[in-house]
Amino acid sequence: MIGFSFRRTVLTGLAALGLSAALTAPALAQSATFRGKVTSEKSGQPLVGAAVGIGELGLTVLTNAQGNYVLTVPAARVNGQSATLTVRSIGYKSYSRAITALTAGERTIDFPLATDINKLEEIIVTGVLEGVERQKVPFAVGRLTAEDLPVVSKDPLTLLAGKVAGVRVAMTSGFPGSTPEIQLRGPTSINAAGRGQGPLIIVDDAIMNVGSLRELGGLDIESIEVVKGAAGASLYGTRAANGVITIRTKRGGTGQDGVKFNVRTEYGFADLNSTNYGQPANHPLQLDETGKRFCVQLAGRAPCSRTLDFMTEMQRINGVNADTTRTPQTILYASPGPADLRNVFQAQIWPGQYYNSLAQLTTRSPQILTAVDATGKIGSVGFYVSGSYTDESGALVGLNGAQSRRARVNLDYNARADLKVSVSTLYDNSTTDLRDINVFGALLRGGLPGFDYTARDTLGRYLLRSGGTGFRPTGNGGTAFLYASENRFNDRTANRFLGSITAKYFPADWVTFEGTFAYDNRSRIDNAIVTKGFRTFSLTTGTNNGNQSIGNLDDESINGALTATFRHKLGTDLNGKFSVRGVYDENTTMSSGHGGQIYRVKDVFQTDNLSTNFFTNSSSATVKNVGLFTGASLDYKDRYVLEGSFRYDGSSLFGAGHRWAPFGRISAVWQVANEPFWKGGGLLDELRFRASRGTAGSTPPFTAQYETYQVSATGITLGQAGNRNLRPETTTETELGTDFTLFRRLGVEFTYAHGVTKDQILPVSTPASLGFSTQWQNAGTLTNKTFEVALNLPVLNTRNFYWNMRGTWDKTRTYISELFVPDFIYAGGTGQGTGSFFLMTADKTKENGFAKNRYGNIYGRRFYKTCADLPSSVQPDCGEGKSFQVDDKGWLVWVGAGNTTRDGITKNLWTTILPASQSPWNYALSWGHPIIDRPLRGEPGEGSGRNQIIGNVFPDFRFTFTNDIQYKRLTLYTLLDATIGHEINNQGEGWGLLDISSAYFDQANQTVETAKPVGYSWRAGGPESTGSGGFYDLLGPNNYVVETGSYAKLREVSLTYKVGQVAGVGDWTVGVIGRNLLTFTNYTGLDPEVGAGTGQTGSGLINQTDAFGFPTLRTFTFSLSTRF
Amino acid sequence: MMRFVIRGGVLALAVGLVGCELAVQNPNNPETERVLSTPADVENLLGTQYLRWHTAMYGRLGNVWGMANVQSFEDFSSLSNNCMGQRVGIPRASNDNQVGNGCAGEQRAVYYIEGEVNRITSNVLAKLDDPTFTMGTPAQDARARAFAEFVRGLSLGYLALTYDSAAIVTPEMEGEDAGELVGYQEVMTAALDGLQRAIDIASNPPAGANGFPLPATWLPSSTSMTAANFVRLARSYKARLRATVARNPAERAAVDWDAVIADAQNGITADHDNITNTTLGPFNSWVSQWHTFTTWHQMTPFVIGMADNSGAYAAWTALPLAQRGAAAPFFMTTPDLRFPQGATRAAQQADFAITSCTGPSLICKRYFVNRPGGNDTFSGESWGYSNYDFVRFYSWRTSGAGTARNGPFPFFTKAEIDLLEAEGQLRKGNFAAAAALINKTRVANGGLPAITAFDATSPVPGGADCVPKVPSNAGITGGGTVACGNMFEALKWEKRIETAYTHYMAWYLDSRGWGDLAEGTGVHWAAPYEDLQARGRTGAQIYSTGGTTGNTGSAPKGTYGW
Repeated sequence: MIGFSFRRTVLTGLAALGLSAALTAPALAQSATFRGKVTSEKSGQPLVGAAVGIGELGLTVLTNAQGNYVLTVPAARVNGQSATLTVRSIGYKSYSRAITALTAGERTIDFPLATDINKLEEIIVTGVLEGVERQKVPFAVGRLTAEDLPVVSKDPLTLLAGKVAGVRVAMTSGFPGSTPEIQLRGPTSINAAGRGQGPLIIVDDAIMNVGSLRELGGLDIESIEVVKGAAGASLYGTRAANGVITIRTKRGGTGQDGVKFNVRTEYGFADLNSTNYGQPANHPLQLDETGKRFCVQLAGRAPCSRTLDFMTEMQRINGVNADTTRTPQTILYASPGPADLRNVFQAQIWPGQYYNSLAQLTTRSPQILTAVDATGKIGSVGFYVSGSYTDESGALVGLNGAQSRRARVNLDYNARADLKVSVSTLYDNSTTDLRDINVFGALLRGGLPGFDYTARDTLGRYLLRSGGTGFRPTGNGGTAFLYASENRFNDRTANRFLGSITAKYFPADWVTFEGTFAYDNRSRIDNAIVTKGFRTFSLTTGTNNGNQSIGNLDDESINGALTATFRHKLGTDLNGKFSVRGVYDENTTMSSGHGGQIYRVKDVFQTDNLSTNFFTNSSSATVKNVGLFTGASLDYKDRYVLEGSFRYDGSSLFGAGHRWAPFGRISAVWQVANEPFWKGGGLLDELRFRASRGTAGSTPPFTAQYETYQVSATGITLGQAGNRNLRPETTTETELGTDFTLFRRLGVEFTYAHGVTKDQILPVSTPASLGFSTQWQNAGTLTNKTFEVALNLPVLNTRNFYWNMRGTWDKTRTYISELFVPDFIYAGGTGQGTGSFFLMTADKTKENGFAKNRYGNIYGRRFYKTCADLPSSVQPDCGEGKSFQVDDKGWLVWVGAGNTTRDGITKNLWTTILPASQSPWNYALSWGHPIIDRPLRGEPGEGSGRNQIIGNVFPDFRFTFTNDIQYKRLTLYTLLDATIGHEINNQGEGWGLLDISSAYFDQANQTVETAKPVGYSWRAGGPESTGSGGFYDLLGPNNYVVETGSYAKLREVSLTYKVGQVAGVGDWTVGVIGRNLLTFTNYTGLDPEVGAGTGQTGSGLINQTDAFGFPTLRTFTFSLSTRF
Repeated sequence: MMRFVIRGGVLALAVGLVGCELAVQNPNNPETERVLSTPADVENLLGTQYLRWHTAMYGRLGNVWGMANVQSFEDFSSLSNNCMGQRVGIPRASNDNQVGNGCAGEQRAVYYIEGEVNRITSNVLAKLDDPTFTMGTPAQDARARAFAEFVRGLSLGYLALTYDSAAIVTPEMEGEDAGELVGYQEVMTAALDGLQRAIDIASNPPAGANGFPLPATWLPSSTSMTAANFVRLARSYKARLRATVARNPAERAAVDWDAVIADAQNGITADHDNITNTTLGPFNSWVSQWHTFTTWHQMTPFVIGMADNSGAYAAWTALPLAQRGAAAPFFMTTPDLRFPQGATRAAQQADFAITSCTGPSLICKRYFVNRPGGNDTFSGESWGYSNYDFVRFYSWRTSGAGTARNGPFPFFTKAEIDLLEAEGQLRKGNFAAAAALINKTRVANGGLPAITAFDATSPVPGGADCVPKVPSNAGITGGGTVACGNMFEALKWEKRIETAYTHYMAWYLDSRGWGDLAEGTGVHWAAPYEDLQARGRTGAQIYSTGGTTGNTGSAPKGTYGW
């Protein structure tokens, strides 16, 4: 209820502001008009969209396509006073002309503008008391405008990828409707479950608490500003430790009355970068003497006494007129035993037709983007209205993908010269097909090469069972997916309304009042249906007779702010600014679900038609945040800027004993280049230093503070112990930086940031006898060190040729510097094999070259690769002619003294075993098989492979490289985005090893010296006495499947040609656009841009496990746009 | 100017008011205050605690039961799911308890859930101890108190069965008091004391409204939980817990067998079942999973081979471990009618097919089936392979009493309580009484000749067809032999076959006390490392059990030489 009372307060305040302004409206008189042309000083080209204005009067107009402007000062405001006419254009230095006496009449003033290489003059609004030139901002801010974004995206965050130093954006899933993962600098939370590691995002003054940013679309973006850490984001208080991104959408004109239309359409396709997934050409299954039929495994019968043809068998097991299929026969060596593991090769050529399952089940799907917008001004109202439709079908055959219909209306009403009211609204309606979101796991490694996924049985149905069981050790790949696509549905329908209103009142030069209110609502319905008659492998009543579940989610968020900013000239060259602000936001989430099984009537998809196993559930949660802020800045001679702020935040998420938390910042800028003594001389210009130290927070997850019991249909159970003293995590970041230009051509921004996040919110185990198993406590510290460099090089700028290069580089290291609880383990975000992916410790010693306390260390097992890897006591027995040698694949193996790694077949050594009693590890070794590092005989932990640090998920560094080239009417834009030096757990390869379907161990073309049996790759962990070596290792991370994931992506390419008018109409541009076109990498998985779920670390960018996620797609589209 | 100051003041006031109301109740998860706010709520909470106790062992795959079953040869699987594969190997791996071990989730489940049940039931008992509090009537109070003591006793009992130590929470302890860890014998003593208090209350319950029987939802069973039936059930559990807490033959021998006999004789008179419900519980996840007959389950010959009269088991036992089953999965013939009959695989498959188990009858014709050849699985060590799967409850798994897996399932058989008494009688030297109890199932269910030699040494009758034929010296290196067992071995055979898959760790609990586990098998699990850490333990204070590398809690070479 308090939210409504606050809303009333806000609205009352806004109304009061408007009313008081209306009461003081001035009278009319004669006008003054300025006109002229704005051009590039370098090329002489007219600058379109340059803003020409008189700041004292709050008047601004934009230049037209010819670079011309006309600025009219209403007669009532022409009083002979002094004024300053200023022109600004993105990428150019601003220019001001003093008007000593503003009088009626016309005058012409042209402005040739110089290039602003470091964009020091663009206005920044994020993290500062009020909009200010970048050169006076004491911390690093990434700012992009529509001009920097020639390749539009369906998602605003995707637009950021590769464009701002210290910002990592990655699509860890290519499933239609997915949103990218984002991280600014480094993570600030050890545990971010349910919270994520992403920044606070504000769109047109509305805090994004609900839904997906994707629903905003990427077409309406006017600018994006990124403040990457607490040093800059402290103004946003308790939710800004991970930085802040503010997005402004396009707005109506400030020029002449009128309207302009833009129409844009893109049509193209999306597909996988490659359908070549390294599937092996050969298999280990036993064929008969003809090589065309498989030998059925029958106990007590001679091998190959019964054989079968594969697709005939598939038709047999599927062609049953029932809800179930038959079980396929088991083929000899489908699941080899220990003896087979040492003998069987993966060297049989598949008989008959060979299919590529990935190619069969994926498709080149249409991509459609159509948008129209109108920008204009009528009287005192500026408007921007847009509508768009997007369709991305995804890449899987039979799926519908995601579609979105979106409309936006932005209005700016200059109610009076001193009162402006802005309204922003968005409506989005989207549908998403959620089927087969996890299909790739079974598909990529389980699919048998001879199975025709497009085949139908004699009754016209897609084959349901593809024979994984009996042909694969796990049975993986046993499902033929097209059947499911035809016989079930899973649709998501979402509606989003986002609206915000901002009123600015400028009653005098020295004061501004601003009020903001935003409302955001998203409702979503998921409807999952399995049709009656759905077939399964074995009788499953609740599925065969159909089932349905419906899930509703309704998110509602409001936020409001009231701000007063006061400016005062404190001396001849000293300007001061003071601001106070109160903010409030509230977010309520409600969900409910119901459903059941067994339809009474076929094809009536309503839950009333269900007859059994009904279920229902619901939940809700409300979060309230409030903040009081005050800040001040001093600006002396445009050389020294000193700024300080304090914010006091309260949150319903904090424990009852700590409802409020303080945040603040102190920062400064020294513009060295403005010092009288500074003589840059062209070598080093525009030099400035900046420093900022600030704090910001991260709130606990909703339930963290509460003592909880879980209530469900099955009873009441204990959850977690409460903690009324739970505090927010607080990041204190110190940021130092400098900006300058070299040779008046190369712009350089360098930033160093050191962030320390204390009071880490962690679920801490409690003694079981307390009943509660965990309690959230403030129990650690995480530290980040970041270096960022941004370069901008305008190579050429002539009348006909323009070439600009940009680049970024960044590097972050994250350490657990304190931990007040015992070391603990986190999973890697997948269900199997990664349960102990991360070891969380504050131990600063090193292991395998990694500081143990480095956050993101991958904790796994290590196979020996060199003699030096062996325990020192074993090393003397390693080397040529000795018991342990390195084989042709680079792994250290046991071969026995006097043998070589190439003697396995010729000396009949493959089945030889070094008994445990003779093994240094008291663990039997198979001849020629890899050896896992484990304690020696008698050492603690003897018997099990030793977990140790084998990599880190965070890159050594990242860089991007952008080219923007324009020759006459032709424009080429390219963006290369690289992430270097991180490790990925290629669990897909692990599954491949388990299913004996890894191309790396395909024995085609091997010789008797180099051939390996399937046990070489198949098993090592867990039941180690049952396996014979192998890298599969129960899907756990090890130094075979954990690979370097370095990559560079040609993320965006755009080639456009400006046609101009066609038949006297419009201003046409045609082009081709590629996204995610090429990936340069040595990573052996399908795509190195991966991440598994969110898990405890809260980010797929941290859970670097490649567990067959839906791969990122490349898209290629043709674009056509015009404006008139 | 004043206008602006006033507006600023309004703003500050509004924000301040908002700030005062930052407290938000969690609408989804109540806290103790709400959970215990009324007598009805207390009953609601208490009424779910048997189900919660049950869930730890039977409601999930994520516990140690899967490991215990492969460790005791009740099952064979090399799948790594739920750490079966990690524990199935011979020589035995330890029950690794190091920080972050791959089986941590499974190894902590029973510990934490029973810790929770122990705490909640103690809280309820503390509430009942409050003289100002009543459920409504003295009878209702007594019913609640008896049930709380019963479930609290069960929770402590299963902690003692599974772990080397645990904390005993009592009604007198404050909510923040976690108690100290004590050994399993002390925990078991507390469990038996609690069960005895439940028995004492229910043996003489006050008259009045809302007394016994227990509400059906508290303990879903086809048997109404009248006070008398409740006492019989509690005494049965006392017998099971007291006998099976032993970690080795010496401790088993030292059990108070008089007490076991007394409880068994006053225990259940028919199979005790719970009405399973896939949605609401109670359930039996592991048995459901084992009946899927894939790589999750098959019967290794180690134990079932003792029924063989073909010589296959003797030959199998004589081989080195690595060679057993390597040529072909184990096949046997046996006179025991709980196994499929016939001289050939085809004959056994014809004698009894799994599909004959799909009717409404809970009990199948045979307990074990010679599976169809096409369903054979070959994964892991060859000594695990046999033709046989356990199918006794297949009808429950598929379409027993109504919908699959919903309906009565026996969690405590009459045979078990009889054989608990039989072991007591045998250990007391009352061989005739013991034989009568053993013969009940041996003859009626197994079709085997009754034991008529009432002593400790005579071989069971049957000659060449005797069951069981027990192995000697059947270790890793081979060379084992088999011979007809004595009365105690007959008892062990009956108990294994009759209790297979009927309750949590059935074979494991008995095998450790009988000394039949393979060398190095952990005889229990250490208190989970998370609990040790929470109690301030670090480094070597966090320990593992079992294995062959000097940990505590390792079984020595067993009776049969493995």
